[in-house]
Amino acid sequence: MGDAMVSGARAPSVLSMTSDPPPSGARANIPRVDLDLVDRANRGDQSALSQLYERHRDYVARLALRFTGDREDAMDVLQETFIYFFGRFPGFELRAKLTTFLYPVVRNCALSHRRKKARANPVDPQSLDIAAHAPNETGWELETLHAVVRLLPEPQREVVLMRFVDDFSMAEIAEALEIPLGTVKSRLHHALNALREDENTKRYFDR
Amino acid sequence: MRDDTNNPTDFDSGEAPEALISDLKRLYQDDLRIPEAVDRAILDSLHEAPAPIPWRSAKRIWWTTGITAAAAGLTLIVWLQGQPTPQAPPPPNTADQLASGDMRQRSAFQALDAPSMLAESDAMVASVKEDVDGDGQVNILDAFLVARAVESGESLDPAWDMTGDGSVSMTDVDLIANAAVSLSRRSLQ
Repeated sequence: MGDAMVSGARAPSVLSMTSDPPPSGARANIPRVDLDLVDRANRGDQSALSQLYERHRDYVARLALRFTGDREDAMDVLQETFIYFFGRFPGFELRAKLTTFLYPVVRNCALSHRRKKARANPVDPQSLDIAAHAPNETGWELETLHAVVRLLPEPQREVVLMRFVDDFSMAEIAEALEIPLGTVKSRLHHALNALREDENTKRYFDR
Repeated sequence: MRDDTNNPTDFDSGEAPEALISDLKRLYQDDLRIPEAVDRAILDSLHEAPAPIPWRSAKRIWWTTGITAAAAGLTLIVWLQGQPTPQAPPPPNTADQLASGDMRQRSAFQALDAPSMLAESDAMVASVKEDVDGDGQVNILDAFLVARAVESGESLDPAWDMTGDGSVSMTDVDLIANAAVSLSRRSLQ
């Protein structure tokens, strides 16, 4: 896996709590409801935290499954992620979309979980095997797509899924992964080129 | 969230054909059912006090604890490897000695292996018969003092009769030297 994947232990600095006012553009993209809930949670309203959990748990669980490839492990990661998130209150400042904030948290929790499991099973504890699990739906077209996506280098695969499955903008991907925007564009470009040139997936680009 | 563009394969804006995006979502947007127990456990953590330790801090604490424990373990191993084979106490020469408080005291003392306990026992050691010069320590100087007196024919203190045979001789010197070496080696630990 690439360097960006290995460096997942870092905190999302852009999203961290600082006294600097956030750029108005980034904050403007944050759903109003999340801003209100975070504000209430900072004032000690636990029901606001519960609502934040309910709003984002499915996204976190889905990400966790993508990173761990195991449903039980995904539940552990879901729990660790939200315990960490709740621990940031009071004093948490939402400077970008909550999904952007949560992405590296889930990723790091999954990596940490993998390290723990690696003590029992010899796997590379520094890497995640993104999208390793078998997809829910079958059918040759989807299975073929899954196989081709799995062949993409991990950093490219991650960017593709963030962009097209999680609907991150490229700037949000750069922010969540703490990599330059140019790197995101480059990875996506190479990934899409690979999909376009592959015999099994070029049909998507011919339509 | 995605940027809008008219070109479905504009790599610079990161767009892709809709059919590809649709299939990727079908593949990887799993509808993962979250068990109620998990929901409950997570929401219950809201009511726990104190607040949960952030995973990053927890990791740091575990690292610190681990390193400290490893260092302590290593120190213990090094210390244990430096321990000499326990010295057998000098054989009692007389029934009187066996019954004497001094001998019992020293046997008990020699059974102790911890240096701290040895250090605490210095005062006790100072009261033993082998401390001929009365400096609070049993060392080779005590043996030298007695040996010199025996060899020079000076007047001999009956208290130096370690064997209890009624006379002070080189045998008594040997006993004092034995005790001194034994105690010195222990004191070094």
